[in-house]
Amino acid sequence: MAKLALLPLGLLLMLVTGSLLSLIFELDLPTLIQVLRQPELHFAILLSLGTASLSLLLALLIGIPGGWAMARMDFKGKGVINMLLDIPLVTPPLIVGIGLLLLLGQRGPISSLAPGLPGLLFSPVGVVIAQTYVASAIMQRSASAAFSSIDPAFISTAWNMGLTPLRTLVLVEIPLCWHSLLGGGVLALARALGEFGATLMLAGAIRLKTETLPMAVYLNIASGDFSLAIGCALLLILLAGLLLIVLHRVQHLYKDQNSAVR
Amino acid sequence: MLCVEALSTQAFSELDFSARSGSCTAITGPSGSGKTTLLNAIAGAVAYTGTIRFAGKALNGVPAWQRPCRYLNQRLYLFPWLTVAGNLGLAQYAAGLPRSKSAQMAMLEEMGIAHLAHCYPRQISGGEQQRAALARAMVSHPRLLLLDEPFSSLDWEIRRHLWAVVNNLRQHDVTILLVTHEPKEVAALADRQWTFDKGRFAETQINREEGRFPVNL
Repeated sequence: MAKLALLPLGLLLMLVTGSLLSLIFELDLPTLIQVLRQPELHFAILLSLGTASLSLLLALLIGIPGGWAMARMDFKGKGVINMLLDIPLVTPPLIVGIGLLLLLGQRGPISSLAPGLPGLLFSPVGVVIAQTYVASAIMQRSASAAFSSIDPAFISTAWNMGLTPLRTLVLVEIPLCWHSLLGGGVLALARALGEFGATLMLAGAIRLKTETLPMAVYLNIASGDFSLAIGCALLLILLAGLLLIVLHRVQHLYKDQNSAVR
Repeated sequence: MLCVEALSTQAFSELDFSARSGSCTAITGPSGSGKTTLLNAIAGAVAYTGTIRFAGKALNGVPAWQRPCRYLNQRLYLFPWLTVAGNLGLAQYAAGLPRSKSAQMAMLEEMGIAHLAHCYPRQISGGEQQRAALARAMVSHPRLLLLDEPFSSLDWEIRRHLWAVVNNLRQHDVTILLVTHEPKEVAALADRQWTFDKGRFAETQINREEGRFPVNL
């Protein structure tokens, strides 16, 4: 019975490692080196890292206070708001992109308030908006769970010591759940780096303008430059792997720290 | 002087009592009678009606972080990512005082745990944590100390040490409210005793016959 239960696990592992290895061994070393020297690839790397870092920063600025508010404050309609905040996590990114385009584009209600905004959409600004949207949802959810997990007596203690709620957030709550916030940040960054659907709708697939790594894969598959597409895919896998290692290191560091002070 | 007038919470109603400056008042009574709620109301941690005054100033409407009291209970909530000295430093900062190492060490010395200044809370024993928490509460020189059975989980030797420490605090004009189930603790520390009993709150005689423990070390 136990061995039978391993069968689906083996199948899943085979698919994961099989697809990964297929990508890795698709290019021989000279081709890979040649691909890595292409300016288009360099542009895609820089744009991806730049926009994803900025999106992460914005997601932290939105998600941490937002998560704190959802964890600490009670107000009417909180249940509905909680559900609405989950929508970006369950909606297909392409649909998110269409929604954002209709909201922020020429015909959208925001254009009358910020007339210059629609003109910025099909540019790196559009990439950042799309990435921030998806990354913020992850960050907000992680932060809310992290703050909710704190024993409220720590907060009462901080207040009793004379710390205001804002200082309590910075000096007590964030240090108490930094590992969860960092984990949420790593996931948000990974999501921003891999963002494709919403970016396609909001920023378009414009070579050497809005060409992030996922967009470069799409554009080069479409134009038949398979080697460059695979090179970009390998770089995305490398970045995802690095983020995965960081995430695991953070979790281990937290466990080690806790066991060291026991 | 602490004056409580017509204080009502979910646990009790129309409670009146006062405690003079520099005194130790014991609050006793059965579990669930409202002892902890009374301290929480004074600390601003639960909603109440009525009036609480300290040193002539009404505390009604004053948020918890601006009240002139420090609260200590069995669960200490020392901040686990800070050393013992770090916890004291944060308490100094929270009270608007400079982070003075010498003041931290003097307070830890008074508690007999100066050698643990650089240890994390989980590296020290329960009794040492208790002393560290008391040091953190006292390092900002509060005028009102709320103690909610803080010593009940400790052995008698450590308790006697901490009773001596608490008695010393009173020389610094610190007003203490002590919630306890232990008659010996009342006899050793309190000047007056107020008891919750069947919905009533009244001053009761301290039973000195319980035997005042020698509080000197």
